[in-house]
Amino acid sequence: MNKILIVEDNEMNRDMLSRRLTRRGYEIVVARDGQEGLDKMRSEMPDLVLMDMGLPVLDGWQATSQAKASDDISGIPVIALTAHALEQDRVKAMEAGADDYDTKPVNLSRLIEKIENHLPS
Amino acid sequence: MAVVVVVGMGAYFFGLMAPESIRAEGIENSLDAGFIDTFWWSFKHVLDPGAFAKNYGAPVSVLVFGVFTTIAGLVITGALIGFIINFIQTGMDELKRGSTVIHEINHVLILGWNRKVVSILRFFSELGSRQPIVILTNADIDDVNEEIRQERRSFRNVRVMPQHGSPTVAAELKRVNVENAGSVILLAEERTSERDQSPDISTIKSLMLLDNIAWEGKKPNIVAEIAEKDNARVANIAVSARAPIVSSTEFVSKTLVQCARHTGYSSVYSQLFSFDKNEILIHHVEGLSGELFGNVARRFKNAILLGVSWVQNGADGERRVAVLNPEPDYDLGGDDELIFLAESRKQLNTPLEMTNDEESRASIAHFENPKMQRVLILGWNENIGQIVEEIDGHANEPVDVAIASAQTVEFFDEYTDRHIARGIRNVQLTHIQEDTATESALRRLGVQKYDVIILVADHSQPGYDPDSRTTLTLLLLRELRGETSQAFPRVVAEFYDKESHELCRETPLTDAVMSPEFVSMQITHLAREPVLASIYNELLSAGGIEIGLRPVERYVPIRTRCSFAHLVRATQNANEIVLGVRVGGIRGEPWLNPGSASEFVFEEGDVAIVLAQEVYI
Repeated sequence: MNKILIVEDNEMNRDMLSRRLTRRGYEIVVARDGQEGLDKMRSEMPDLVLMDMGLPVLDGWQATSQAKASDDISGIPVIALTAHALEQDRVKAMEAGADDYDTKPVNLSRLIEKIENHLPS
Repeated sequence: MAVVVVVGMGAYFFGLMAPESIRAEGIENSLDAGFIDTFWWSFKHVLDPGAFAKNYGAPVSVLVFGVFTTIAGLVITGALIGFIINFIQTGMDELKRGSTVIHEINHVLILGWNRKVVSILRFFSELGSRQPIVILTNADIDDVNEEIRQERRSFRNVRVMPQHGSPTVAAELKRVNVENAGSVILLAEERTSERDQSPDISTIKSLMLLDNIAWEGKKPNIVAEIAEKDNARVANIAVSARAPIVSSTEFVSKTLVQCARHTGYSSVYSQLFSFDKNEILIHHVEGLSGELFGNVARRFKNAILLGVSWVQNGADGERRVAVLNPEPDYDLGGDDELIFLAESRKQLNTPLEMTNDEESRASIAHFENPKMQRVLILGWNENIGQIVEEIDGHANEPVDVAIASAQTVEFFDEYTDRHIARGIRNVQLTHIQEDTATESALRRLGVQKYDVIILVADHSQPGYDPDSRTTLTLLLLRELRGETSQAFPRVVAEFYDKESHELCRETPLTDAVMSPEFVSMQITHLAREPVLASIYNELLSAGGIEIGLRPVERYVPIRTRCSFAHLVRATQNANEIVLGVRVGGIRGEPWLNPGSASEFVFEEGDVAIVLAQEVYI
């Protein structure tokens, strides 16, 4: 079973995404801010991270770039999730080191396709 | 009394039944001329002083006994009457002082007293609640009774029992029968100039007491109001995060900022959470497992499907989760309950058959909220820091926030250092020392250049009533608006009193937040249904799901007949849920849950009231 870390500060979004992905057979771990996300990447070693960008303490862009700069967790794929609608936000997320990008509200089948593309076969 | 009667019976040995005594009208021997007649004579004298007069003609010795029993009887009867009166008086005093023992069951127990209590009593009355309401407070019970008496008309069918006592003393909680209460509401006591201590200290102590009770029956719903946001975390620890904590500062600040972002928000909000028509209900509907949320949302004729709820088991135990506006392709599970906006549960059990209606899946562009780049805050109170944080939370680009109040620059600098400076990303903050309820000050401030003006209940001028200052400022803003042909800023104002708001109808006011009323509404809801806490929080916070008021032409053509069901389908294309509509421009009243069959011909200026994911553009 693949383990996915959801880094999301909004409780409802976190609960809903966890429930939907759990039903699809993924093991879910959650973090509420960017710093907790980095800590959980190290302690849980997930197969993939779904990273919200607008996070407290350490935002998603900073957390992603720090993760990609750390040898121990840089290999974990990060999919950036954002409610920011502009193209520049997508570019900003990719520049921070995200492996992929999706917008909220989430389209589950599209997101799962992206998750499967980045999970180890 | 028995002793006196026995002593009186001694008259028998002094000739009571002798023929010369029997001549007297009041001495009889027709039963046995012995024990019974003597007892009757003596007992009659003890209870009835008038009986002595009927001894006329009896021997002196008998009269002596008659005098003794009569006087002793007077003393005893007087004492007895005194005792009874005293007993009744004590009971009345206890009732008046509020120090009786409460034997009610399933009652609503309010711990503490502030201006919100009257609104809470009114809301329970509107709900048709039969639960008696017990109020335990340290406040002067005469003042409490007087305030209740003055407002009695608005909650006539609710039985209210004010009790004087400390909500932080376990014995007092026991006296008001907390263990058998249906709901417990803890209110922050009013701040007074003589008391430095935060009112939250008492609330937190009471919460700790409640957390330590070994509940034998069903644990009551507990909801606590915290006056200062920073204390909310401690309060949560005190109840082990098992009861909703309402931070009134945070709540009022969030509501003011949401009103600043969405014109008309306050009337939607007050209607959504009022008690007179629609209410938010969590309900299980059979036979929907496996169906998609978007399809199910169209199957209720007189209800709006807002979201889903389920019980989640985790390391911390069971937790009820509520999610608003899930994606339309969310497939419902067998354990999912549905969150509705409806008038009653009766409307929820018979969903309509699914129809294969051809629908357009036209994509709807992201909606851009009106700009909020320059904000002017007039007045000062303890919510200012939180308001600034909320504006910052919603901002994705720099926002200039100017605060004009009577506070000095030194005070402002110290306050911002202590309360605001941390974590602000996009807000540029300035302070201007002005008496904002004067025309010259408003002219100097150049109010027209702002996108939004927020009037907070002003506490920077001690001795002035905040609502009166707000009313005066709004009148002055009306004058300034009359002088310009350009668009005037949106104006949001906080009021303590509903009647003050009524006075301001013809001013540039676009949204009014009656802060005690709104907080009371939330507290009353949570006392009945604690799971609504996450819904309140979600609707008011930055990010996530929010209530939006968006032009109806974004979804359906205007000047064409259109059913509400059509609007429901159209909003789903934008991943939104339509709650209702507002027709007739900004002064129109929101109409929530009009029913899928209702038909409209929309005009320019009409809006759809939607639940939507907040999107930053």
